[in-house]
Amino acid sequence: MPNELLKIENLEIVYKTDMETVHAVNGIDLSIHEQETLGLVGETGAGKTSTALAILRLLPDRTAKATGRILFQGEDIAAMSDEALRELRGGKISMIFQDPMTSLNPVISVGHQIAEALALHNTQNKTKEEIEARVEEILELVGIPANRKNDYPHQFSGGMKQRVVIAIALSCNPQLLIADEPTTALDVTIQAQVLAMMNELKERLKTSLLMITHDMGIIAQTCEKVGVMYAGEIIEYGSVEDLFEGKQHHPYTIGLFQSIPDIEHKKERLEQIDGLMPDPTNLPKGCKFHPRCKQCMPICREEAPGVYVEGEHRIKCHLFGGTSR
Amino acid sequence: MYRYFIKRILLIIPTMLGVIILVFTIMSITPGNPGRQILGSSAPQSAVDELNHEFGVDRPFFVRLGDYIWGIITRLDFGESWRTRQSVFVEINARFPVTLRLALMAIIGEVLIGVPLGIVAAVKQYSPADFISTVIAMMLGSVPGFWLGLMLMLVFGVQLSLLPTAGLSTPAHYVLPLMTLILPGASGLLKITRSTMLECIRQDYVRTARAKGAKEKSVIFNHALRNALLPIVTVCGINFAYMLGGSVVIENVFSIPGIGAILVDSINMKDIPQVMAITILFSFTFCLVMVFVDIAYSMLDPRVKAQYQAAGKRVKKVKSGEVAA
Repeated sequence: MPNELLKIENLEIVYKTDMETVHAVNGIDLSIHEQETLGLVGETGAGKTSTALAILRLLPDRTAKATGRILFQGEDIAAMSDEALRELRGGKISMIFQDPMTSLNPVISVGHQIAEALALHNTQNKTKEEIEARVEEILELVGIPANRKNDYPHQFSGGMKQRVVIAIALSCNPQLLIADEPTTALDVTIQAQVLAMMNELKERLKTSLLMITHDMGIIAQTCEKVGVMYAGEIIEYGSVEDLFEGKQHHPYTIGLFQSIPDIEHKKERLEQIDGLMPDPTNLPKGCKFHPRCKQCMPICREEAPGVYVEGEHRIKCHLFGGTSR
Repeated sequence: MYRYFIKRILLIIPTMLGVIILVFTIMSITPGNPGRQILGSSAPQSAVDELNHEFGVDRPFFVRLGDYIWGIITRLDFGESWRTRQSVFVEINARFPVTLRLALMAIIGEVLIGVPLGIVAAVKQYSPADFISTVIAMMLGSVPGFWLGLMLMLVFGVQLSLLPTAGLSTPAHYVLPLMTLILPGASGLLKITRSTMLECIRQDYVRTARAKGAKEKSVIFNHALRNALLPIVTVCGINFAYMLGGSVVIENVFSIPGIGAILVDSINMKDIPQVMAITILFSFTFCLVMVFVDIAYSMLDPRVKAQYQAAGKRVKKVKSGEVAA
């Protein structure tokens, strides 16, 4: 088995303001191995992006507080010096952000924005010309003609901007790439192109990938392991096969799958999960999914469920008994 | 893009024409008799009439206005001051450099104090530094200039006897007037810098820059500040243009022989040619500063530059269309 690259232990993230306390992430455990792709799937507000930002220590330090441990190659990220952290950001771990429209600096040319990342992690002492050559190379890699490197973000379409964001993230050959809903802002054709490109690059550059999405289709296309997040917890975790083919599932996962149209079965109406995600300022007692769960039992209202383990497959639900953590 | 700026500069001409007509009209319809003002109340009516005839004020309004504008267009003749019987440029040449020097020093001081403090206040939002500078800025910004001037005079000139309070004969003489000009201007600049910086440092592209591993300094200055500069440049331009218009009150308080003081005297004496010449100078410098602000925009923001280029092109198309027609 390849080495463990990233390990998250009992991560909790709380946003505290004068008005309210938001429990965004409530004790998650994760690990990503080298060259592995892990998907995190869940509704808006499940804590996916907060988790990703915590890995790079990019949470707003005044309001957000992260506890637990995040280890990258065995090193605690929270304990890193500023310098080590800067080396980590963009160098060893880089991130593709959700919204390409706002993620690029409007007053700096795209070539310069890519070159900046390269210059910051210039471990091989490349000259300016070499960096420029690399910028052109990486732009071509993501399918943008190199002669457009002096253009500004407003001259690109949304899909091209997302490619630029990806180019910035890939420019320094990171060991871990965090993709936070990289295709949400794109239409399906561009989405398919971008995903295919990411898959190809992942193979070529031997990068591990943390894919954050709310699209099961993307999970099926790209990931090896999947974590399903709900209200800041990973309620089900397993390989893609466990999730898509396995028999036992968390009721929330079942709900998610039922809400996807199935091309082979005719259906008048898609199933939906009634209700909304619980208010993160006031999470329900017991299992956080119980107010929306169709198989809710009395114990679900009282006690937080333990984890049921079967091989790699883990489900956090009272239905399967499971051992308390 | 040059076309756009040429167009902008040419647009100054109709603006100036409007200003000339407006000010000339106002000066003509306000009560008062130039001959009487100059000769005094004891002079015989016949002498007053003779003088008025010499100035041409006994002619109809439109004739005088047309004559004045014609003189400017054909001979660049702005007339003679009725008080001194010299070209209006004698007073302007003597006094405008004083105001210009003061305004230049004041704007530099404002930028050097206001912008860095604004950046600190934004970056360290809610810190004591932010609180103190914001409160002081608010106080200085809401105090009338003449009061601040008088208070500074009272404290540093009279009570402490540290600094001279009238005229501009030595460098020490500049301290109090400059403080009176700079303090409110810098506090305005501080507030605008703080608020635009706060907006910019919350943008996604700033997070992207951090995720690349950029140093905090570079994140603030290269990424956030460059985007925040537009409103700052605007405020600087307006402040500077107003100060070029002579800070009438400050010049009176500190007995500075600037352009503002002579304007007030000329208005009181109904010295129409002198008033007109100074007003035209003010509006011309104001328009010119605004064109420079526009040029600064295009250098700072590629999106603005693209707009200017498009605006320039549109002119070109219309013109070629005309030729074809």
